[in-house]
Amino acid sequence: MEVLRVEGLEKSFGKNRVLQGVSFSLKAGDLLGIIGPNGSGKTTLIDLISGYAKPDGGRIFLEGKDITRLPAHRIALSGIGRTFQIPRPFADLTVEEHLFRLEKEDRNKLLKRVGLEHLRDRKGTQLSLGQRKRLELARALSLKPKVLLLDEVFAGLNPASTQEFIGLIRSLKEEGIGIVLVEHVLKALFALADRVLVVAEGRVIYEGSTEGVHESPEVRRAYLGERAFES
Amino acid sequence: MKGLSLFLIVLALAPLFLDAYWLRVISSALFLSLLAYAFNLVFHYTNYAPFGGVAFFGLGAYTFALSVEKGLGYVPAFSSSILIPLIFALFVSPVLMRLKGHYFAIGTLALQVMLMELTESLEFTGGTKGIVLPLGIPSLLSYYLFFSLLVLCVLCVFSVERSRLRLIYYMLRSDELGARSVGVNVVLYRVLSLVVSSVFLGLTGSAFALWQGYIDAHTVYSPLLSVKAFLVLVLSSHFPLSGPLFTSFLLELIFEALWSKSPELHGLFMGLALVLLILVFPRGLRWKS
Repeated sequence: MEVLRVEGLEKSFGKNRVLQGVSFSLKAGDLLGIIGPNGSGKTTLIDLISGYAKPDGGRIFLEGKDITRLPAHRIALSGIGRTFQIPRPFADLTVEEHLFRLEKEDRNKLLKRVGLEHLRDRKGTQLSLGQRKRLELARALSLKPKVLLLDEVFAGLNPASTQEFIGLIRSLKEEGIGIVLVEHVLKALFALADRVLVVAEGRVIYEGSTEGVHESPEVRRAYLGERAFES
Repeated sequence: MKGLSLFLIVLALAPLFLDAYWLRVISSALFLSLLAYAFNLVFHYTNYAPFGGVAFFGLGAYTFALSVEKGLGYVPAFSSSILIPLIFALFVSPVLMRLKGHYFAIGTLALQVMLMELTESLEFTGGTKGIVLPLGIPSLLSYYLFFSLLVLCVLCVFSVERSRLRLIYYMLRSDELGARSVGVNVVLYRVLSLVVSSVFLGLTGSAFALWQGYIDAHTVYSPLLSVKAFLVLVLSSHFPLSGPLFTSFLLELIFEALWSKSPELHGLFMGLALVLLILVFPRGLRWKS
């Protein structure tokens, strides 16, 4: 079942055309990996879907409902959770208080699931980077989302945490959450993605299987470089 | 919390032991704490500085005085001193609360200056002559009016601090984008804080008009009121519940001591005392809450 559909998104900042007709769709339980060089418009795409910025053209549908013009908080409550490139815990709130939308029992389950149950009373700003990323994922999951937008969630994680996060995201897929993963850590992305979208200069230059992206000479040459696939 | 409750009990009984002079001094401290609590509903919970928040205070004072002057009676006059600032806040806040940082502070200052000029230039507000209230009330009644409003303010802050609202406000003041990502309607909650603040400021304005028996635009829209209230908030920012009250009393006693020792130079000493307080406590006063 399709949960998210993006049709012809356009966005410019001044004369800079950041997105030029980007379209894709996402099924429940699927993970769409988005890659591309820095400045290619990946984070802008996430900002548009989550309502932080409004597109100049194109439309966004969540379970068939047009959410293009909804404010960010309404989009979040409709079922789109997101994380940020740099985690931003709330300064004066404890880890547990970040999950204020959930009942006590659900909060406990979620904290255990992301491995933060022993830090529930600690302030979000006292956490390490890896813990902050777990907290941010938990915060997004506290909305009980249908779609998750993950922006470079693997950046800066050590190998053990990366493996844990891969397991965690896999389990979220199994629950039927549709996931959009913008990522530079390609090994993690290829381990999880059902399909890959390659964006460059605001355009989609590839959409298809993870195997196919390895074989695309255009992607290899222009955006990933030869060495990205050596291992 | 214990200290605050005890202090409120002492304040409730204080008039039994105070002479007229000290009743006025303590009333002034109560008045300052009311301004500080009302400002803090915006400052503490949204991180926005309503430097021109006395616009709502002045509006409340004038609405009350004009209502009494027209013979409406105290209850309708009090009601209108809530209603008019509230309507005004609802009218301006959707625009005001979309301004960020310094622009918000300047926006509220513009409101304050605009209302002051308007009040002085209109005939029905008494122009530059102001309004003398037909009936004064005993200073003891004024004291208990301020005290009742103070209890209301403390209860309001207490209920916010003990509810989910505290979490929501701490989220939006810490990180607006993050708050939106968990479904918080940032503008709505900011508007709510300004509207509730304006209600308290309007009521404080009416109590002030009753206490003084006379108001004019330069008194009720005075920037000095904002400066004093903000000094209280800067020094008590760690304690939204008890901070405005304790700090207001501390400052008012300092101001009063300076004034009684040297009426001619008290303004100079007051300035020096403020500079010293900020230098010694750059992160505000702290005590065990």
